[in-house]
Amino acid sequence: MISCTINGKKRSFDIDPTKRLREMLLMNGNFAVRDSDDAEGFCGSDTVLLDGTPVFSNLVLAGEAEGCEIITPDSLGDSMHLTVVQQALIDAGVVQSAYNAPAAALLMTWLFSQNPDPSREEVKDVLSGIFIRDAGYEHYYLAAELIKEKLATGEYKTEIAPEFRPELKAVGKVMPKIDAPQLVSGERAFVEDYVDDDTCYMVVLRSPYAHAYVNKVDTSKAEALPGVIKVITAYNCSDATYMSAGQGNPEPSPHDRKLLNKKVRHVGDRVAAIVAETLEEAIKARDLIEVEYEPLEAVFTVEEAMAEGAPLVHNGKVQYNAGAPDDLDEYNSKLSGDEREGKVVYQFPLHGDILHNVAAANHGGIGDVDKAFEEADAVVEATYQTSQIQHTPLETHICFSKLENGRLIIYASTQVPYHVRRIVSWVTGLSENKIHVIKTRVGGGYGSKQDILVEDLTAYATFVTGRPVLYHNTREEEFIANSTRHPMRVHVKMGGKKDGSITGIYMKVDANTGPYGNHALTVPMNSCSKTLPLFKCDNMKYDLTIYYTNTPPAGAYQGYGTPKGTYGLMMAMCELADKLGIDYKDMVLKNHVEEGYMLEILKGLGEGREGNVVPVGSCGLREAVEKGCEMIEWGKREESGDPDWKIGKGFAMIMQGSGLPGLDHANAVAKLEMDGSIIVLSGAADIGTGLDTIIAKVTSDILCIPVDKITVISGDTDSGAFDTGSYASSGTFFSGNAAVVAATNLKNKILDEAAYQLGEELDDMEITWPGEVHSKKTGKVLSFYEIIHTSTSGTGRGHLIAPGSFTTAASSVPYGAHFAQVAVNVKTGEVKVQKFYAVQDAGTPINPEAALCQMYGASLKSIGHTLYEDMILDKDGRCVNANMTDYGVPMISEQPDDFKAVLIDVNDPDGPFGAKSISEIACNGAAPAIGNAIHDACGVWMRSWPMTPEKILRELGKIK
Amino acid sequence: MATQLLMAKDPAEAIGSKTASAAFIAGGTEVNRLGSDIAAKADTLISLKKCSGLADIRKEDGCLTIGSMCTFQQLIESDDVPAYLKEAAHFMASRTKRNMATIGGNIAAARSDSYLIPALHAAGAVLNICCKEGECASVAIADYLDEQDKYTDALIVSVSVPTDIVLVSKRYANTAQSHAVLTASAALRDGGLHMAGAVKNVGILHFCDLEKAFMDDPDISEDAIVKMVRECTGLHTSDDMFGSDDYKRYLIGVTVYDLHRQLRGKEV
Repeated sequence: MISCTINGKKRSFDIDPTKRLREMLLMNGNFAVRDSDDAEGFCGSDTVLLDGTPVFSNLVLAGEAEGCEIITPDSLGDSMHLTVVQQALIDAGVVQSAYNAPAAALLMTWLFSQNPDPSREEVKDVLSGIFIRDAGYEHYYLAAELIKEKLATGEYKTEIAPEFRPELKAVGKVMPKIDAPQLVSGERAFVEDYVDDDTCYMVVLRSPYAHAYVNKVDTSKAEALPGVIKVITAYNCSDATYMSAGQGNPEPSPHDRKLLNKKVRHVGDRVAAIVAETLEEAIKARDLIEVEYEPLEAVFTVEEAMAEGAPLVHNGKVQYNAGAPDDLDEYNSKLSGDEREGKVVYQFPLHGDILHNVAAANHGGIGDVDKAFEEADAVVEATYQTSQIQHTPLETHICFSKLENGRLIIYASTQVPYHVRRIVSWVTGLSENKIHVIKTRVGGGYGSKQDILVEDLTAYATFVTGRPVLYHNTREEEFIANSTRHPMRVHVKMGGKKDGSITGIYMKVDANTGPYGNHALTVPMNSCSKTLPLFKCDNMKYDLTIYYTNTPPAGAYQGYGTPKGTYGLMMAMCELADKLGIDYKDMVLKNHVEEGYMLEILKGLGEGREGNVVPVGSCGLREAVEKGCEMIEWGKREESGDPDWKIGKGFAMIMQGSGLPGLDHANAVAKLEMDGSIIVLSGAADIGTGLDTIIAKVTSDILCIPVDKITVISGDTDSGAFDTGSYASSGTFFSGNAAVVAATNLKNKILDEAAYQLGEELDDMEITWPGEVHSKKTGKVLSFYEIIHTSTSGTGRGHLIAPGSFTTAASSVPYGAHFAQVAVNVKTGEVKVQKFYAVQDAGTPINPEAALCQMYGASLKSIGHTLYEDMILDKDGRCVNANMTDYGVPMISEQPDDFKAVLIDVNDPDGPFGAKSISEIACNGAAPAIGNAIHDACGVWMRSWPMTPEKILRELGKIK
Repeated sequence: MATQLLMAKDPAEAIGSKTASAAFIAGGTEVNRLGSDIAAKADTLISLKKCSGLADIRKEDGCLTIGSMCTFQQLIESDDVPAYLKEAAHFMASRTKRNMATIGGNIAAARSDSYLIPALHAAGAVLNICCKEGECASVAIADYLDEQDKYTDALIVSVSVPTDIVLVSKRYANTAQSHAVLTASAALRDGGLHMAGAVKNVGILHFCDLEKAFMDDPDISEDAIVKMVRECTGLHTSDDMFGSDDYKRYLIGVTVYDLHRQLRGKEV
């Protein structure tokens, strides 16, 4: 027995003393002590206080806690009784996806218990052991200031964030995110918190080969083990061919995979799924499975994939559900057609050519680029290479499924609940009414949870066993078996005149989608569609080809292909300015688009179909560039005082989208409840960014009712109506606008009902604060309570419920510019980002403090992509750094010393209350801003990310 | 996989319980860490966390004796620990990890990306070791590392370090939390120059040829030093995920040159 004190109470446990302390705490119900790194001692989700000192509980053995006092994050305060520290974290906006928020609150509480007036360095020190991917660290410093002020004076003095739209009470105001109390206090929130006691565990046997046929899977020894319930292989599972991208149906992605394939196409590919009563039994059974592989030659780069005679990643038959070419039979006759290959099914033509490992392609442009280059005074041409990087959400992919009342219930950490339902329906053959997807809180998505990577197999396991099943990726599986950012080779040719005008731009993008084509077209397409429209240029051309390879799979990643396209284009533009001998800023200002400029280039850049040619809408781009240049003192040369350290500055203009006009679709239903409060049922998937809060705020301002009288229920396929999901920066614009429509419809119904009850004209009714209808004619007032009470009295006209559906052809594009000042050590190649300024036009920031944190978080993430992050594969395609320490995510030590996020005030005519998207665009600027700054510092063009010291030294000619 | 845990009350019990299939566990940041070979191979773990007398810091005769269970954070917070060792402890970027990791554990792990060993090596630290037979000995850290197999059943009780020396260090890693590709230290003590480094996937190195080169010609050029390292046949670096062979050799060269330059500046 191990005896200790947990949160002030004496406890004893009958546990193996070599187990981890965290396991013991879970036995005690302290589930907010989480695990993000499989006991790597990195992320800090498992932080507790052991005898008054913060430690990683996964690195302490249970037996070592004998006689100790342990404090866990859930001891601080519950959601109804928050502590000063918890409240300050919420108020500062850092409680976003929040998987680590309870641990961060514990650390900050501990810090203030040691010192009520901690310095910035002390805050940095205490947070050095905790990984925050969503919000960055900057507003933790703000939170520390707020705590100090609250403890000292009882109130905050420091401004948390600028506020917008003074005529509104909720939109644009600093206000706690509505799910933040639940998250920061460590209450049940994530999938793992809802698992039933009788749940089985599933593990997956993964391929050690990058490319091989699976000729035989002998599961007999595994199945003979006590506790093993089922082993699922390619030879006994669903034959459905589908893909994992959670995007509009029919998808602009080839259907090219099954639940388990008879051919593995990457190291880490699924070979078998083992369901057992316990995790230990499942792992033990996995080790007993004997697989007969037939290894095949593999390809790992686009260069290898495009080579003549290259091994084919997919060599089965091709089918088209629409638009099949006339020569399809002849084409198929050239493929092996081996049954083990499966097939590739295009929903409509994507210019794929699997005989040459091409998953999809697109080509197009406007004007005449060849002529434009001839007319140019200077032309630059360069190729920019980007690496394969991982999202590293703190909460690794997880799914819990069970049967209930003849239905499949799926608890999912997903950005796309309705797409999860559709794909599970395909795999199981169940109709969608028999499947209920419950999106819990999501502990970080960043695009990786737009792919259906674990839900298909977990739900299928429940479907065939009838048992509740839990599946949870290890951190290594996140790297080798999830989606990642597509490695891309972006070739740019750009010509310009001496006056700085750009005459022509050519982009050739070769993208590596890995073994499967989920998002094969759409992600790389963004490298052109969210970059070329930045330029006022009549001659632009692009050639986009996406190759299959045998690397770990690629897929959706925040920013899609835009960060890579922006990297190539803005670096090339800086090179062109340099070659022309003109200032880069002047060139940017001369060539960027402005409101009203017709974007002809978009015609060929639809997602698998013709795009919408629209004029530039609201645009704060110029203001962002000028503001940032002023902040960073553009043109002023900085000296370090050390001859080895050279300082330089750079920036990049950026854009993104706000969902996909003509493709995305969102719905909401607003209900007036019996006491006059409001419930909004939304199809939206809040992944921690504050979408539910946005829905509550717009509803509040439309219905003139306080936010705390509004409850938003979202991400539940039973209770909400269809929403395409949270991706492509669509949440605020689409789901927010659907809520606007629903709330407006409900407002009209309330006004109509009030007029009916008062016996007056509808035109004389107006909604007034707080939740009343006022007659402009008679001065009579009916509260919402009075209205609904009468309407539902049995003699009234019934419950007031209003749906809202939103689709649009309008495009509200966020713009911005990101600025960097770096110091480069020309002797060692080290780079320090001294300053980073993110200046963005996000329309009306509905949650301004959360918006700033998302800008910090995405910027820091992209600084990581630019300088540190890289999945390294060996010659056999094995990822050799599939852990957090070796992979290299930025933490508080890597944050720039001077880090600022600035919102440019633009009121967009199409966004909900003028809002556009915010977070995703912030991934786009770091690489070119830092790359151009490195050139400014030491004269080398960094054409490959991550821009490591070794690569810089090579460019400087210091090493081979 | 370990199935037993022994909480040793004192060093004698810890040493007495040590068998070939048992392993000591100090702070736990290595042994309990994901993928640890030590935990996988051992059947018994002997925790030193509650071992009396292993976490003291004592100052005597210009020398500081640090208990092997002193954590990195204790080193940083102690008034007596010299600045060079505090700097090395700070190389471990995570405060939470520093609250756990110990000086003795870091030495015993002898990792090629060690945080502390280059500084301790250059400083001429002496390890106070007790063996199963009851014998205790003081062993120079360089000798301990050279003959670590001899000490597999021994317990590092404390580490003695000089406090009156000049020592500078430099660490290179992808991010602050990443494993270092190179950590190097240089010290002036006992009338001589002492240089050591931890080179990832190579090991702990005593840069004696470089020491000699600097001693022979204090004004030797950086290019000459880099050339020396590049041509050194006894240095077994290779291309790996931490960098190319040439990068590592170049980095060692410019770093030791710079450390030497810094020492000369401090000497003045």
